[in-house]
Amino acid sequence: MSLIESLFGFLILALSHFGKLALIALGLAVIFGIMGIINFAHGEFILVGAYTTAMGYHAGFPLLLAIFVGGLAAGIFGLIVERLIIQHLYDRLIETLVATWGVSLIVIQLVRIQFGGTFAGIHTPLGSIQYGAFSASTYRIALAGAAIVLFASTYAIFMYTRYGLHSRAAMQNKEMAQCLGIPTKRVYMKTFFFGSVLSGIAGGLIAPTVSLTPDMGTNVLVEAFVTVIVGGANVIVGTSLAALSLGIIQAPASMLFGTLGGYLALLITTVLLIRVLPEGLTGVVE
Amino acid sequence: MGARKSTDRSGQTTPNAHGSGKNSRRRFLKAAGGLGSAAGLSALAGCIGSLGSDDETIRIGTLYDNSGELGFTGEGKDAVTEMFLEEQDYELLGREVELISYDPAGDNTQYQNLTRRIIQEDEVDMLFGALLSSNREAMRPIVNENKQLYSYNDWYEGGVCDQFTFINTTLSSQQRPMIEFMIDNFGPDYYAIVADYNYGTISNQYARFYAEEYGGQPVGEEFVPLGVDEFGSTINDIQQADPDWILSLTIGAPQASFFEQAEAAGLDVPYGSMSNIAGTYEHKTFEPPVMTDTYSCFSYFEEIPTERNQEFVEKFKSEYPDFDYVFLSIVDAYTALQLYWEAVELAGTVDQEEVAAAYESGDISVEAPSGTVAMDPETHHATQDMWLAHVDESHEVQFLDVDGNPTDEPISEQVGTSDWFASECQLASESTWDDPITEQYIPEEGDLTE
Repeated sequence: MSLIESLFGFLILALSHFGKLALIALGLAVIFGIMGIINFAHGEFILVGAYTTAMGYHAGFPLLLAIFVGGLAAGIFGLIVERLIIQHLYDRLIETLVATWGVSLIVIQLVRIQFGGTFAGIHTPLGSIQYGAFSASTYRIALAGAAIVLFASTYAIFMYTRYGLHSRAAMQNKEMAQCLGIPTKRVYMKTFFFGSVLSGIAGGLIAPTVSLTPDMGTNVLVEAFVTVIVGGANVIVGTSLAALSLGIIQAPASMLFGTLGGYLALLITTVLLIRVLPEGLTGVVE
Repeated sequence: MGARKSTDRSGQTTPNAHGSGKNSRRRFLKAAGGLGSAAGLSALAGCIGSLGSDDETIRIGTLYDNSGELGFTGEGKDAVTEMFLEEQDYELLGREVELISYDPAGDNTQYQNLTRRIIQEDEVDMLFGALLSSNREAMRPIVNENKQLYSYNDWYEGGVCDQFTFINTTLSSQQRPMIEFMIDNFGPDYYAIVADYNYGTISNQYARFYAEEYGGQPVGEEFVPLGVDEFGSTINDIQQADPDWILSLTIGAPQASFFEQAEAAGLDVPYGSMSNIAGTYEHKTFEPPVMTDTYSCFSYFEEIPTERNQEFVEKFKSEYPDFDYVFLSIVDAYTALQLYWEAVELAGTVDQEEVAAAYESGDISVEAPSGTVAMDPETHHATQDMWLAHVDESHEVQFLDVDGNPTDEPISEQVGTSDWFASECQLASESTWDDPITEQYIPEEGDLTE
């Protein structure tokens, strides 16, 4: 493996790790950052997005439209969960944690009963790019681009819309926001919906790269949490920086020590980082 | 027909009332049988398992997961059990057969509790059960302590050498024709992707041993934890090692993501598989051409072109339309019943010690959907035909012979266990019902080559 090939390989791996981490963490970061809710059912919003995308795709929708439908389905599912369960548990951290975990278990079992152990997946589009004796999936690199687009859109929504203004106010000082007439409960409901849509879109985007199984959400949950913790309170800057730095660490570790080595590097980095930077990368930026 | 099992999904404790219109007659006989065994129990207190007068009901027990992660697999095994019993008209030796099924839901503690219950309270004459090796190892001490005749029939790495246990399924060592085929047809250098737990690592040892015998060697090995679905760096590593073929020992749907990712990355290397297609039908769940040029070796595939098998497949699918593919675990459960039936008929009784002796007679051989399956007296493992399936671009399966030509025959007939295991495990000559051997042998580095 020549130096150029190694560099290329590293770049591609780092990009694809960044893309995946950023995508699966964004929805979680929004809900945690604005509402302070630790959503243990986060993985299942990704699952709903991925399964709906696959269903849409197999029904003949173009992939992008199917992903959009997947995001919408996850959003509606999020809305139902928020109305039925979460809204009664605001400001009760432990209770929401247990309740969302329960939602997660129920969804996994329902999916298993309804669809069985595996679900017909989606073929990865866009082919491959060649570099020297090596090749990699173009779609994996495109995912990094998709992640950047999603982060930019989320930033725009928070900065330039009325909902964004309200949600930032509610995040900074809930009581004061209420005094000023901002309907915080409505803002929370919208935020949960928005976070769920983001997770659903992430699920749709990663669906063509993995096997669709009832526990696919559980598999990504750890990585999503790690990214959010490393990122800290700042939803956009913190989370994207976290995904980038974790991707850059995971790539060479997995090249040198295999897939398991990559995961270990991810977790060890996280442990060290929260020891040194208890507020995550947000603390450094601010 | 086709009435689904009535095993209670949540409580997991309802004995199976086996569908169909004969229920009332059977319920009556079951009640009569219950009276019989109660009387027997008071007369022969403490002597569990072999209280049988000739007019008594024969009881068969199954412990297969019907819920949880492998619920679908266990449902298939219970469905085919029901189908087999209906074919026999619920009769054996002219006596009524009663089926007792529980759902351990993939929980090893439940497996243990239900094993105790099905042996001690239901007093089954024969017990079938366990999906994973961990389930089986949870059951086995209880099975042995109670001297219970027991069948394990789901694919595993091999090595159980147990007086009371009879095993029919594909063993890792029986997949050796694939290793030979791949080395002869593609070359000696292979890269192994191995699920990092007992089944994967032990099977990989067998693969490495046989590869060496046939003149090949691994140019790379990656041990992947279960549940991992990210293979970017693995694909990179494979391209660097540039193997002639890839040995697949991936387990579970997350690890099967490898194939999709390899396809997307443009990796074009044939797969020799010890873990795909027959049991988990990736050629049905993935869109073509992801599994193209997978060469998989097992004792059974739904596509086996014999008349016997095609009739079996058609019948099973029409009675149980939930199953799109008749996978290995289903057929192994069916064959296990065939073997038991043959052993009981040979023994002329369901007395467990005598049936075990019949199993060990060397005369037990049945025409299963997969072909001829015989019970090896010394190892208590099935000797059987191995088929080499090739998955083509449109995900159709053809069977190949050693030269790679299409054939309607197995690639190797009547394949037994590894020589190493056959020399370690000699149940017929060294173990008796009262002084039993109940081991599991795991090959250490170097064991196989001696």
